Amino acid sequence: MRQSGVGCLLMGGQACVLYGAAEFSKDVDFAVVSDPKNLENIRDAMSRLDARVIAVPPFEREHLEAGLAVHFRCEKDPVRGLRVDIMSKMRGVPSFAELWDRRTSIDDGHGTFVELLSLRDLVAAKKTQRDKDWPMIQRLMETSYLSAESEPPDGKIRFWMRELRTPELLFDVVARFQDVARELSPDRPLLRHAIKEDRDDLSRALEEEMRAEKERDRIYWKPLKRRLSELRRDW
Amino acid sequence: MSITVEEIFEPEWVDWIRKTPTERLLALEEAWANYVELGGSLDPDVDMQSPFWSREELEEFARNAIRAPERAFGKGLE
Repeated sequence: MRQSGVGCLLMGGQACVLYGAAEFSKDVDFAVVSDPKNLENIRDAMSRLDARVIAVPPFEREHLEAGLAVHFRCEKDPVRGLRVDIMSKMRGVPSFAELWDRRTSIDDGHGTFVELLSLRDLVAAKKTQRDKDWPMIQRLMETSYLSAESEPPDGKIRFWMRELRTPELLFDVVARFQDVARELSPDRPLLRHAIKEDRDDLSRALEEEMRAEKERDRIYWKPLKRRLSELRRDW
Repeated sequence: MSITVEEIFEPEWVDWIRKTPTERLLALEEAWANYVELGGSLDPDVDMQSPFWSREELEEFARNAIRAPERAFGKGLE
C-alpha cells in the first residue's frame, strides 16, 4: 500500500495485535479515503499482489461510500489466499480526515511508520453485531488501562470510563477518579453500579450494553445487506 | 492503581503487553513469515455472523476450509 501511495489506516485484527490485544491475525483490513486518485492507487497496490475482488460489491467508489467493504484475495506467492478488506465508511466512526488526524503511528524499526486507527476509533469500529469483536474490545481496553502511565491525561480517563468492559477495572477506575465517574454516569449509567461496587448489576448492565450495541449494528446493516443481495443478483 | 497486569493477564500475555508497539510489529512480521513458510492457510476464518456475506458464500468458504487440509498430506503419505 505504501509503495502505491495509498492513503489508508490499518485497522481490524492487525491493529489489535499492535495494540497488544492479540498476538496474531490473518485479517488485513484498511480504512481508506475514497477519492478517485486513492482508489487508483489501491488498484495499483492490489495489482502488485495479483489481487482480485471476490464477491460483491465491485470495487467502486459508490459502494465504499455507502458503507460496504470491498474484499480482495491475493494470488501472488507468498501471500496467495490473503484477504485484504477495505472500507471508507463505518458506523460510529468519523471521516477518514478525522481518523487520519488522530491516528497512531508506529515506527516499523526500518525508518518508516505504520499508520493505524487510533485506539478509540478501533474500539468504535469493533462495536459490531459479531460476538467475536466484543472480547477483543475488552482486551484492547484492559491493555490500554493496565499499561498506562501513573498520571494519565483527562482524555484517557474519560475514554476508560466510557469503554472499559472488565468489572475489576471499572471498580478500579471509578475509585481512582470518582469525580469523573460521577460526571459521566449520566452518559454511561452502568458506572453507577461500579461506584457502588455492585458486581452483579454491573455485569448485567455490561451485557445489556453489548446487546443494545449489537442490535444497533444489525439495524444499520439491514439496508446494506439488502444492497448486497441486489448486487449478488447482478454479479 | 491497585490492580496489576499480572492480576488480569496470564504470564505470556504480560510479556506481550509489556512490549513496545514497534517490538510487537517486528514480532508480528516474524510470526507472519514463519506462518507462511510453514504453509499456514491465509484464507480467513469463516465468520457466520459477518454481515458482509450471504449464507451461500459462507458455505463456500467453509467447504474450502475443509478441503484445505488436503494440502497437508504431502508426498509420501500414501
